[in-house]
Amino acid sequence: MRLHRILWTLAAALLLPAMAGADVITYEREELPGGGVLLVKQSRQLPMVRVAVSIPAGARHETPEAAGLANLTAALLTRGTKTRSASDIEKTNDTLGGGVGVEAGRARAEASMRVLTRDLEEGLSLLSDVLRNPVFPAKEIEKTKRRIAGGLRRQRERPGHLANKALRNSLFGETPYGRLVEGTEASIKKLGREDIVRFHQKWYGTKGTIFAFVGDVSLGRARELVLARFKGWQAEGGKIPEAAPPETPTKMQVVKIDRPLSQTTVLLGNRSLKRTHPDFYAARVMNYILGGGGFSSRIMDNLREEKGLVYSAYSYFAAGRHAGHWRLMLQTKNKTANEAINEAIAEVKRIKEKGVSNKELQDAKDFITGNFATRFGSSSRIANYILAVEILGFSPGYADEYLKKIRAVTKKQIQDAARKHIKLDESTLAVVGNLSEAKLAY
Amino acid sequence: MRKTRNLRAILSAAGLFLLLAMPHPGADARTETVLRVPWNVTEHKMKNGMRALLLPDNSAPMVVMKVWYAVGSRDEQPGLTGIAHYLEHMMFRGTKKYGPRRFSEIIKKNGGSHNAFTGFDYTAYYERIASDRLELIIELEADRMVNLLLQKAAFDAEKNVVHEERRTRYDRPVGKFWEQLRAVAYTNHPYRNPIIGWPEDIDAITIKDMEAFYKRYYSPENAVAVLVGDFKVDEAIALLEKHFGKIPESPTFRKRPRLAEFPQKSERRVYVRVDAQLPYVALGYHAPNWKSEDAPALVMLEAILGGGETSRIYQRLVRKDTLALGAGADYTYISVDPMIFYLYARVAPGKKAADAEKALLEEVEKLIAKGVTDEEFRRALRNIEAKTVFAMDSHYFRARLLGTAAIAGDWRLLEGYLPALRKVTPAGVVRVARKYLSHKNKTTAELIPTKKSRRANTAKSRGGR
Repeated sequence: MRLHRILWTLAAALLLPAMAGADVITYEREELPGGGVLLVKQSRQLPMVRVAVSIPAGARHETPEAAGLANLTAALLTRGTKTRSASDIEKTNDTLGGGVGVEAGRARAEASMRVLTRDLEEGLSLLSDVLRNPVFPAKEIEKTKRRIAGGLRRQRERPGHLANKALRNSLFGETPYGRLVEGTEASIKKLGREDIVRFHQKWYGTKGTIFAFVGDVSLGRARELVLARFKGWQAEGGKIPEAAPPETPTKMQVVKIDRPLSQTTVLLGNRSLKRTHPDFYAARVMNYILGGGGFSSRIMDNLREEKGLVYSAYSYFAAGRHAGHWRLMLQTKNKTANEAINEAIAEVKRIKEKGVSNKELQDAKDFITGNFATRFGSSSRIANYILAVEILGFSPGYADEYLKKIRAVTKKQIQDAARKHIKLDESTLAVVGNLSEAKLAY
Repeated sequence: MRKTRNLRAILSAAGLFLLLAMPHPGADARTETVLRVPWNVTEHKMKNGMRALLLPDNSAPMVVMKVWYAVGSRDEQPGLTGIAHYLEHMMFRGTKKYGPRRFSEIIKKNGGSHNAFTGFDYTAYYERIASDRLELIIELEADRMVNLLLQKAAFDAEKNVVHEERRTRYDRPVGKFWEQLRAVAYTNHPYRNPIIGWPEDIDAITIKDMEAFYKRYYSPENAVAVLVGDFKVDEAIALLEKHFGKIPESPTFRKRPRLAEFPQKSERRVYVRVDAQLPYVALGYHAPNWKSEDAPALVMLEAILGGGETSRIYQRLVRKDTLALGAGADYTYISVDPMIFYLYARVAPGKKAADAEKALLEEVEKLIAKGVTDEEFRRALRNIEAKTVFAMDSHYFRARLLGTAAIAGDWRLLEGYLPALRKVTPAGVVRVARKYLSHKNKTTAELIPTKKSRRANTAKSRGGR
């Protein structure tokens, strides 16, 4: 009797994959004078507001010689303004429970904060001040440069970091996607105050900037605050430096880094589609089956569940607005490095040559569409989502379009996507580990 | 995935509360708003001893369920360290009813995600899924509470997976460093062992050991289900009763034993020599947890000494003397047994660990000698109050706090968190600093980088497969 009921419950659940639609996530969008955009997702659950300001001032706005300039500029914004010392800013930040932080990425910089509703005005006053009126004191520049350089040094203790650096460099060379946002110890050393001041004047302004508010705030209130604080905020603008990626290879490139570790870290990747490519949806479903679906993926099933070779192994498309690549990661003890790489590559070939089954396709679609509604369980997740939709040039109703396109993916499109967008001959294999133990056959 | 998480500071900067009034004496002139954020928890106890905590929240059509077992690395016998975490891995290897891989397959098919984590005090399993699928996950969790299949092939394969996980975590200088510090700071309490276990012990664990461990600890009277999300409380209770309520109590279940670390009599020190880029230094002092009247003052001490950017240690070591890339304090308020109050510094290039250690100690001495100002005390309290609200901004995190507190003693201690902090005074902070941050009570760990492979040996070659 009990068993019968349980089976029925499960059957019902299996037949009706969770539906998700546009009502899952709605928000308001408004264009601002000066070329900015305001996005507001109001929710009164908690007396707090998350504010994120995304500015087109990332590493792609710096030249390769000035690698690390966007990051250094962002880090220095909170180190002193015309009316606040670095110490004043720290005090306000701590009082607000974290306050304002600014970080640069490859495409854009982002200033964000989380404040109690009662502190919103104070927080926004600080946020606009650090973005508009930084003074870049010479002493702070020196200290910040040293801290970033020290961080780069410590990063070298991490095998994943070493492999990532090698992979990116091989795939993207001198472009901003081929280097670290932090730059190098040598490139940072050369950056002077003039460079920082110029970078700030050139790229920090309303044009192209997105202001996202999530939480206990209305559209009207958010608009009023932004207009009051950011009126007349203009960047000079300029030409975004161009750099060509390296020539596409015709054979797999291998980069080996020897370290006295007990485990080998492996990255395999190739340049691939951007996020706006029409094949993205098929590629997303395909990769879920290959290596993106956690314990349900073929790579995990083979390398971990079956053979116990790895704790972690996965693949994904890092598809952005301006560049994209596909990558696979695995870590295994040195002695089984060859076996694990062979198995992972065999899975890649299998999906290219034989495609996927109807069941795999349906399971993948059910997960991706059903899981969508559970992705908005916190204000930071909501803020990241609505910013990404805007940055990619989609409309606020994108959720519907995304789910529709995922549902429409066919088996043939999956196999095509594997063939077209994962390219072993054009890939780089980056390996960090004890090479004398690993005895790599690659 | 299936990670061992070291929850050293679950509540160090993130507690939850019922009423957030702002009675700071002498706070700035602006009107302080009274914030009301109810901890709207329903507690339910089943006949078989299983407990449930339910927190409805309809802000999104989803639910997070976490099933907590009061068993962690703390409860392992000598020679079997790592068994709690290893069992956590095996819990995904299938039951009599749902064979291998089915658990994950069914949840994913329904758009859900799932994982698990093991701590010193607990093992927890969670699912995040659309709220109309609640019964599905309840049924699956109830099934694997008692029907787990332990089979040789999966057991062996999973042992290798656990070893790989250990390598991932401890093949890194900082991982080795903290592992050694704990191993020396405790002498007899099992908190001295890494949650993931010592490699030799992991090797020695047999299926028989694991069967006995599973039978003893995986039973309704040792479990707490925590639900946060979009459901009706009475309906959710009915579903829990339907699936968990009929599981019989375990005949071999015994309450977890009382354990206490022997009082430390004198200072200890450990050097960790590993291949690393930069030195690291940390001081660990035994300190009581929430069960002690001193605990709220220790939370404030952690914040003032090493919490935010304006904290004394950060200002001195990172900003002023630039001795460290990062520095701070870390204290665990919620745990079963008392843990360690840490002060640490990630030493900057070109600087000495000895200077960083000296600066840390000087800041402790200065605080004890000269006291805490009202201004820094107020700032620290406001910081914690704000972070306490921010901590509610996620289904997942609320379920985590509730479970951690329930396992440590009582979820209600979350409600009492801020009121307890408000009763602390600057003088009280100095008093606990003097009482616990003493040389006699201290273990110092220093990471000394060895130079054997400082230069990258990078070879690039071309070739086919």
